[in-house]
Amino acid sequence: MIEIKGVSKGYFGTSVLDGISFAADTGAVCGLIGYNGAGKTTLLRVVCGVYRPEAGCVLLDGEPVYENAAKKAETFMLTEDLYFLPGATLGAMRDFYAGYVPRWDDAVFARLCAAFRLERGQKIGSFSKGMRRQAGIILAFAARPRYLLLDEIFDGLDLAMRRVTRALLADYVRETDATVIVTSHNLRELEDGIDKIAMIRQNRLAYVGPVAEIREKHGTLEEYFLGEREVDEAAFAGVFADGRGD
Amino acid sequence: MFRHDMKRCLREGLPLAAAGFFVLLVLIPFGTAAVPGDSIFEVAVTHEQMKYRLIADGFVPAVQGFSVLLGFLLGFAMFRFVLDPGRSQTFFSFGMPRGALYRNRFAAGALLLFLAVFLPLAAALVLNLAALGGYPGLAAAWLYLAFGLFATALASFCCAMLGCLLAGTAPESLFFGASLLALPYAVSYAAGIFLKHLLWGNPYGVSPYLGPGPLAPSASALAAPFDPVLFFYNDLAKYRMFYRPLETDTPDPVNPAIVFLWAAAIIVLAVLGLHLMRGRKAEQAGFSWKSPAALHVCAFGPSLFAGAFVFGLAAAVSLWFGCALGAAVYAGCLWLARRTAAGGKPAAGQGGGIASSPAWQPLFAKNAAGVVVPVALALALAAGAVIGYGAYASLPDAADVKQVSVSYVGSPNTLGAPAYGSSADTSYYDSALYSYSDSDEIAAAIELHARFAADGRRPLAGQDVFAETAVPYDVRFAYTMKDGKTKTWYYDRASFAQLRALLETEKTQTAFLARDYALGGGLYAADPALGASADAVAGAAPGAGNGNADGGLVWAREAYLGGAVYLTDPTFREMFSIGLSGEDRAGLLAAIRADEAALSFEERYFPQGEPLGILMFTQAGEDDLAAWSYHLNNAFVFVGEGHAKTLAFLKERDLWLEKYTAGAARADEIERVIMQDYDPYIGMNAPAFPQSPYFMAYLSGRPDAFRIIKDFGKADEARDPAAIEQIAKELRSNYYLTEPGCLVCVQYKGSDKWVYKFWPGEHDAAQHEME
Repeated sequence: MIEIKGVSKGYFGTSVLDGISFAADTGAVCGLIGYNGAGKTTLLRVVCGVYRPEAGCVLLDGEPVYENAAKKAETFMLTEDLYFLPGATLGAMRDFYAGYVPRWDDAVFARLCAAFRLERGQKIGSFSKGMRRQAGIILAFAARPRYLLLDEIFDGLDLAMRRVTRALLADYVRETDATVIVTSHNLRELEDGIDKIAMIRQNRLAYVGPVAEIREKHGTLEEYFLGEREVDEAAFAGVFADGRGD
Repeated sequence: MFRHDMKRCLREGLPLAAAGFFVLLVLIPFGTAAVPGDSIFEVAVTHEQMKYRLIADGFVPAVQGFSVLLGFLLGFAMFRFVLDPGRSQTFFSFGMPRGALYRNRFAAGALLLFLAVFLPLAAALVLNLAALGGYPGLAAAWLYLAFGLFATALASFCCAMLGCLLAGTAPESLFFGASLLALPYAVSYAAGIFLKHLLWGNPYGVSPYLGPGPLAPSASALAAPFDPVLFFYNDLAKYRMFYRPLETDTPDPVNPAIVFLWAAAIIVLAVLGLHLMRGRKAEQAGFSWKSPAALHVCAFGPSLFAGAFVFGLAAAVSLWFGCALGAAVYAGCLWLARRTAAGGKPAAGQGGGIASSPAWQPLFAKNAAGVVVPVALALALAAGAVIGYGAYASLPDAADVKQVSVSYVGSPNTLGAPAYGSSADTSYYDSALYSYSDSDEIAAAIELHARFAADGRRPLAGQDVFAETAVPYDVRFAYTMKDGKTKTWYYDRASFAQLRALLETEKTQTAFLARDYALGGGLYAADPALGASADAVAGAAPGAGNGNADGGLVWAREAYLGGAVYLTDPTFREMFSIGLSGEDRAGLLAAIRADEAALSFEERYFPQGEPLGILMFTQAGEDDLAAWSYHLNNAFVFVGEGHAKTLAFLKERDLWLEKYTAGAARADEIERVIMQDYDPYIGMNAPAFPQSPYFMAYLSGRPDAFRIIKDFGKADEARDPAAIEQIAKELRSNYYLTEPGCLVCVQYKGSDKWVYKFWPGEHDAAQHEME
């Protein structure tokens, strides 16, 4: 279980998270949503022990994560822009992560490479955005973390790959009993693959509860999200009307 | 995981370390053993006196500089991962504590540096053993060099590492690292500039115009043990080789204190680095200037350096102008740093690294404090520079002084001390010290010194009052106190009035004895009151023992005792060689000494007329006849009415021929004269090097070879017999030029030579010019 207790975090004087508290259950996938700049990625970085919260704490099965080598060894965060070594191939990245991640599973790595049809010897620099995302997904699952944090996991993936990934995530949780937090703006894909949803709005937690409750009240996750967002659509109307004047 | 991380760190630093290794391989073993014509394998180089040479002569700065550079680059390479958001997040998310990440990188960098430095030195050691064999002290020197260079590189590594841990981006980290590395030098440089301009007369870092320098170590030299770049440089130069001198067969033993000191400092820096790594905010990666406190600390050095540099330039014009401009530049640089750090807002105290440390925050938390602290630091430095190093503002009490050595400003013809000299056809300058031990002379010397201290630093420029014009000059007052301590003041300029006052020391007993000694006598050596030994050698001269001896020779004495003797008159038209037996020379010198002893101060330096004849004692043979001008190997006696014994001696032996000494004031034989006001600052090219104010006439084949060779503009020429007659009566062949006057170039009828003399007094040269 991942317990987030009253976490506050800011960047150089600007508050990003303000007293966020919720828990992600073991053997379940928790969705984390919010508008652009809401602080989702920052929260995941706090959860994986990269950022130290200014207030509150994050507990992984009861233990604080920051500077906790044992708990961090069981955590993997797939960021939007996962770091790849300069000029590295997928094989080189395997060597890199296998040395740092104690639960690394070569068999899973090999099977996923085959399933995604990615060559181990091919340079990642030559990959498309979607392929880079697939490479990240391969590395994340091969790390076999107990606590998996996936930031914008569907970003860049085509429809087929999004569905494959969603299924893969469900299988992974079922097989390993892992705790997963996923963020995405692709709410349609997210809705079908999560058990619980947490939403951050204006640096604070706006909602946390079962995804079924959202469906019950709002029909879909998208409806709920749009209902929460206050967008002045009139402000966007006619912005190109007198553009060049010629 | 830890082993994997260590391997990765080694792999990451290996290319740079390997490149460094190969460069050092070229600079160290190749430089000492494989350069044709300068190899330890060549006897022509070793002369069988070179016992070992681990680093060749010209390679020392390069080895030192490259070790610093290699350490810095490797430190940056090892820790730059914290500057990249992706990399830092990846590494910080692994199951390794930050301390372990830090230790691996530090250890890997240190190991690579160790190998890059030790292996080339080991190769040099093997080559030395092969070429020159083993020698006592070689192993110790090798070990000392190896650890010293390693410590140098590691100190630089630490600075780069701290730069990375304080910064958010690569350029910022390079700025921080380089600033930390250069901070001690910047501070000592500024201290040196303050010393030079604010503490008139201190000798620190000052090199005189003539003689070895500096007189006392510079602020940078004093601070070198605390400078990460320079702390080992002197020892590197000293212990890299041993060329056996005649007096000893073993090299100086190694004193590793400085390396131990820096090993301790490196440990402190490493612990500081660990603290910064643990406290580093990962979100700082990719964001510049988010550590304002670090920026202030690092900006202090460059700002201080810039301010001091500008102050030094401007203070040469005006001290107050220099202070204002230097302070403005310093404040401007700090303001820029502060503005950069805060993004235009006073956001100090935020960000990571040192800024987050509670110890620093009170200093930088408020806008006012951020200004006050650097200003206070600069003022403290300036105050420390002024009152540091001893109280140079107050002169010693005469009662405490055992001896004082004062710069000699009189005639080189009677300079009775070893000296450093510089001479050309038209000018000369000698630098020597006379030491005074008599209480009255000491008191007089302190009085003279007080005048220099009170007058302050004067601009090197022309003045309305001629005597107040300052010119470049070496003026030293070196005190030996009764408790054995020594203290030296140095002034790099003097006004003509000050030089005239210094000339008064010629009236002292010490100067009298020195004159006698220069003229071949032995009074100085024989005077038991002065405590000198009986042998009349150079070592017994008044200036000996001041560290001022140039080979220990008293130049004038050498000329008098061994030089050929010539006689001419003030027209320099005919010269007569005087052959002297040893007995005759002794007799002549005895007569000159007796006459000189009887001459008044004014007769020697401010004669009322031309001499009857001029005797030249020269060791340069007939070459001197062409110019009849002073240089270190000759000396002159301007024989006047006061030299009765000299005249009698020469006439008695038929050596004073009237035809050679009859042209003293024959104005009717002058074809024309060319006059120029004597002012060093007329026209272009102000003097940058001293000249003696003691003028001696000379010959030239050119009409424009005035004593001060420069563009005076138009010279005034007179051909009118009446004007020439008036001028000729007042010309001087020898005179002490501290009052206004004209330099005069005279051409005699039937001669293509020009004779240069001095015309004392204020004159309107133009009124004598022929229409």
